[in-house]
Amino acid sequence: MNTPPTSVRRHISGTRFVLYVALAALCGAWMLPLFAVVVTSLKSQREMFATPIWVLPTTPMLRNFIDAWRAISRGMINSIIITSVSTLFAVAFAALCAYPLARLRFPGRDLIYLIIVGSFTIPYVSIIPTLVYFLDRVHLLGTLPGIIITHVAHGQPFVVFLLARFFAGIPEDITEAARIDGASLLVIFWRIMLPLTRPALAAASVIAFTWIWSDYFKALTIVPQTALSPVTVRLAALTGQYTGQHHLRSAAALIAMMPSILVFLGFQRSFIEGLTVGAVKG
Amino acid sequence: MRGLRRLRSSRRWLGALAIGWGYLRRRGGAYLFILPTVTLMAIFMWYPLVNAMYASLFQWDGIHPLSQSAFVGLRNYVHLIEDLVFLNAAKNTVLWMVMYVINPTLLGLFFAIVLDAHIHGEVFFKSVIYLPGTIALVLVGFIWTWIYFPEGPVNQVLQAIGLDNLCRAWLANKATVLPAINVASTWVRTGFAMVVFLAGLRGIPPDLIEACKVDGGTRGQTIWYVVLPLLRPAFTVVIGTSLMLSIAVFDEVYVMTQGGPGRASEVLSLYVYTKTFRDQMAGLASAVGVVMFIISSLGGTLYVRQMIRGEVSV
Repeated sequence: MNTPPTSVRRHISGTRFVLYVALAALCGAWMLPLFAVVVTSLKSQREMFATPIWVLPTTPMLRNFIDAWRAISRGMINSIIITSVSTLFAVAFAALCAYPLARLRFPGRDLIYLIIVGSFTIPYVSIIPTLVYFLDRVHLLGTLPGIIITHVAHGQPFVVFLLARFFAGIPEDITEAARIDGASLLVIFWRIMLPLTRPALAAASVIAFTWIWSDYFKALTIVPQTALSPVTVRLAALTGQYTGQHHLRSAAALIAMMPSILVFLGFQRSFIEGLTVGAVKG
Repeated sequence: MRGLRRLRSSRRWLGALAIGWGYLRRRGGAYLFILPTVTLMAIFMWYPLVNAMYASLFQWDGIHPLSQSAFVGLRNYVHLIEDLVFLNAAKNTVLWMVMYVINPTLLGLFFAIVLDAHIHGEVFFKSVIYLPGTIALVLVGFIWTWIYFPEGPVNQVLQAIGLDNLCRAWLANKATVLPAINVASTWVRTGFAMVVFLAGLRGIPPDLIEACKVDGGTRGQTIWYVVLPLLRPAFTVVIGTSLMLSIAVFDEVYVMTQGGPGRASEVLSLYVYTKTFRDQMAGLASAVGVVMFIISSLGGTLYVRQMIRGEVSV
């Protein structure tokens, strides 16, 4: 779709060539910080300080990764639990909510939609004292359900918006036909809307997954204790023990960033499509 | 007699109930569908927000109920204006917001214009630039803490090319700490700006650009007079989200410097965090939170309006 005409493809012009070289150099520069982490994670502590960053380690210290994994494995498991459960419920509730907002007429619909999507602008930091106090009161502070339910609630504005946007794009006659056949709302939702919007559900899940995986502030304030905290909090808490041990921190950081990077690379297309919704038309 | 009347009126009630029930059965499905989301958001977002506004009027420690705390009216807000620590955090946050809005926006726009030339490997370039945006900010903080370390890569490179006098402890220097952290954030954030601008550029009808060329417009003129005005929705999305995210910045600053050296990189959310959990001044922290919410929703309104308006024109 985006391929240029064949004539251009055959003779790449001079300016094009310069453009490609410049872009390649730029991408190389953009990856330098990651390159630095990978190199550092493979060096011993002595080598890390003795040799500059562009000197590769003589023998790659894969042990660093084993040590790092030992330190953060608990956090990784917690992260996986928190992120997958939160994503599942966030997308499920948001899909339920987005369907009538996008497709049905009922009193108060536009106002409800505006308030839900508008809540996107509430910064988490603004409600920390009162939310933490409330969670404590209902015995959810310092528990996995507490952090999960917070993620689900706070994920609603964006996911509802995203899904409503896609639901609105389903042609009216498809649902109309089902309604005339006597299908209930739930049946239309389950049998027609969800299968037809699978790409949107994928985009929403992928974006929610990387956001929740990357969360630090919510977990720091709701599950700060190490037994339950996700890898981000766990890793930051280890900083004190890791003074000067940048090789171990680098290895741990590489392990901890893998899930969200893999999800992004695997679902890039829907990921970027989901993020840019609303940016084009106006 | 009286009993009969009561019966009749209760019948009327029952009738109303039956009508209401029928309505709910026919139309109420919609409300049942949105119920889970609305309930969750009400309990975990809207109630804490409204409660924060209320709590900001109390001398509250964040532990005891508000009913046992002293009502102080607007005194928390007055206290803020006189608190040098707060004013310093506010100043740092404003500086941070300016850098956070401008740098990724310009860089992302530049990349988008370059990539819009329909080059081979566009998907590859796009994912390379976007990739840092998928890394948790805490981890980004770790990566860059090492990069800026006195014996770390940046200074190693500077020494190797003979610029020893530029070497410094980037994160321990009051003048360089915030810009240094911002470089890391720009690295993270540019990808988002780029994909949004690229989507915006692809949405411009080619004949408009063609028409400008036919009329003798130079490349620069085309960009300035045709492309940029048509990119307004994309600008709104990028700048609106940047304002919202930058007022609330926490992760990368907290991980890289904890607000130091001294208070040189202390931003508002760090102030809220320490006031809440260390100083037990949750009422004061709530007041800061309310101010931050108001500023965030000013920037956010731009974005949300664009989101909703975009939807209407599907």
